[in-house]
Amino acid sequence: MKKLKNRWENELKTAIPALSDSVKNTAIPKAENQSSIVKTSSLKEGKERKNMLKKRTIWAVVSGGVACACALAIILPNALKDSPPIVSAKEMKVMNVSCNPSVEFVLDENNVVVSANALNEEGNLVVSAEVFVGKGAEDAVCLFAEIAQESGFLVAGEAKSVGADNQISIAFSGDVTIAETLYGGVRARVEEYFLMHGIDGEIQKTDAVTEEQLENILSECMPHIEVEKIREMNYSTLVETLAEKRKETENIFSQELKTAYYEMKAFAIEQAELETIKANANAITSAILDGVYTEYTKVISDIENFRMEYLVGKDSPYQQALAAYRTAKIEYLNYRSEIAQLEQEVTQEILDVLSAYEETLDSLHNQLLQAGETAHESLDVMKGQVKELFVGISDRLQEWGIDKEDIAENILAERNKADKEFLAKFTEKCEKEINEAHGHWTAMKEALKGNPNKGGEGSGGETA
Amino acid sequence: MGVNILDVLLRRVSEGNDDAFEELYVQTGKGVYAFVYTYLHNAADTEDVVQTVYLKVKLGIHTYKHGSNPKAWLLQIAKNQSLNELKKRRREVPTEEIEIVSDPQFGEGTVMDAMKRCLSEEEQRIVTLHVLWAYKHKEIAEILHCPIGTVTSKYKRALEKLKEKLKEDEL
Repeated sequence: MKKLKNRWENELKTAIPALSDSVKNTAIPKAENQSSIVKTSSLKEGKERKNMLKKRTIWAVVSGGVACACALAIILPNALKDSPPIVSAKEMKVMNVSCNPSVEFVLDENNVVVSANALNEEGNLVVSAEVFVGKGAEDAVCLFAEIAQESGFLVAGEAKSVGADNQISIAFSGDVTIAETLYGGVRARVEEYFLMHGIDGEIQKTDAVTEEQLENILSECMPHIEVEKIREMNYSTLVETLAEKRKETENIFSQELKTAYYEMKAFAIEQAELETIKANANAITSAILDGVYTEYTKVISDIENFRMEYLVGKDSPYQQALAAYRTAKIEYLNYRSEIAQLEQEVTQEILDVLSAYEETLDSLHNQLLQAGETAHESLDVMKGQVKELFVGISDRLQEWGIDKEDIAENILAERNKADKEFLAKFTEKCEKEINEAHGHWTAMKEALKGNPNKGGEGSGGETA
Repeated sequence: MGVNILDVLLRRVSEGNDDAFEELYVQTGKGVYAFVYTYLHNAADTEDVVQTVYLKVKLGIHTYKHGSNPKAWLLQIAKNQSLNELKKRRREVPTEEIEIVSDPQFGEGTVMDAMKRCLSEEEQRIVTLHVLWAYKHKEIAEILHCPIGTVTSKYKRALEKLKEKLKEDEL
């Protein structure tokens, strides 16, 4: 069919005339005066068109072909200019963008990105490749699309025939009207990008990010803060705090390492609190606390070791599964991009090979999820133990003659100190894993760059 | 040509962007031409109608609902203008038998000529909508108001006939 289509289109290209000057010069009526203008113009145009048709020469036919050939290079950039500017939104918001890689952007009041965070493993490929902070929302989403195309997640050419839906989903938090305006601007820019790069794609707004969802995300980033306190935060504080948390992990391109960071930091802060209490207790209470504290730190150490062995370490089942998944994904995406660019029709044989890649990928993805879930089930048990010990200590402080209120300032100071110092400690401790994670995504990006899916500017779209 | 790309262009046209209008013609002119040709069967009339179609697009751009179905909107205009032209013709030449003659624009060996010679009007439309407009059989069935099975079988048969005819012409 593709052969027939090409042959047919070439035939038509030389046969159809250019648009007449009369049609070209007809003004587009304003929406409000539409009916009257249509009527007047139609009468006038009827006569003009008759004259024009009589005057049609071979030059019109030739210029039609030339116009078609030059159109993408000359007209398209002009056709796309004058996009309406985004109306400035005066509230911070979260913008989640997804097309398989999934990235969460926090935007400031002027819709400028203040943090970018991967929401899934593939999202790390995107955020590790470019710096998004400081870019406007529209530019950020365009950059996202560009990386997604370079990496084969968005496919130019015969995308539908190779099962690529080329769909970018966007969700916003906050005021619905502001979100709608912001979405309008972002959508226009992405559609222009699609047009310029020959991507038969779609952008859609999905369900809004609710305050409850923001609270849950923040609870994951700050497990040391009581859920009730997070629920008391208003919308602005939620988004601002989330941006702060994401900035801390902006150089960690691994989902498990980020989780490790947030959870280990929470333990460090709680440990700082317990140590402050111990330091302020009398000798007898301090001795009692010592026993519990030792047990507490042991479980935390077990958690860290377990996490390294099963989730974060290079040889852990999760990282092994992730490496296998990444390799399969590279093969799948490169193959899919390659066949989308084929001149001839995509045969059943080719589709069978693609299906085989998809099956392998699905199976490896399941193994990855399984590796993560199994490890987290065990981790959850251990985290429960830590929580019990911490709450147990807190509950018995009065019994031991310690009033936390008396040393509240000290506790707060030590907790803040632990909070501030933790990033440097974590980075030092997990330097190897952090660098490895970055290296893996960079290597994957390079491996995907070789795909033939990189439509340059003005490469044009498919024709009708 | 993706539906969304047409939607973007139509939106730009409605904002008064002439470059977008020209680009719309580059992107869809061939498909509109081939579709109109299935009604009129000659290049001169088809050219006239295609010009009218794009004039109507410009003048009626505000009747297009953004985010809806741009392909369907364009084809509806093309269909209406083609039927108007046929009505006009019937008034001018009421009883004349339509004779299939070679079009100077599309000589023997061209797809357009082969389609005209070996396919029925409906088959021509089905092939045009599927090959040039990338419509699925189900969508074509909705456009032409006929069962999907009919579209599938007619398309298959039409393609076989067309391939055979083109092969014959090459000999």
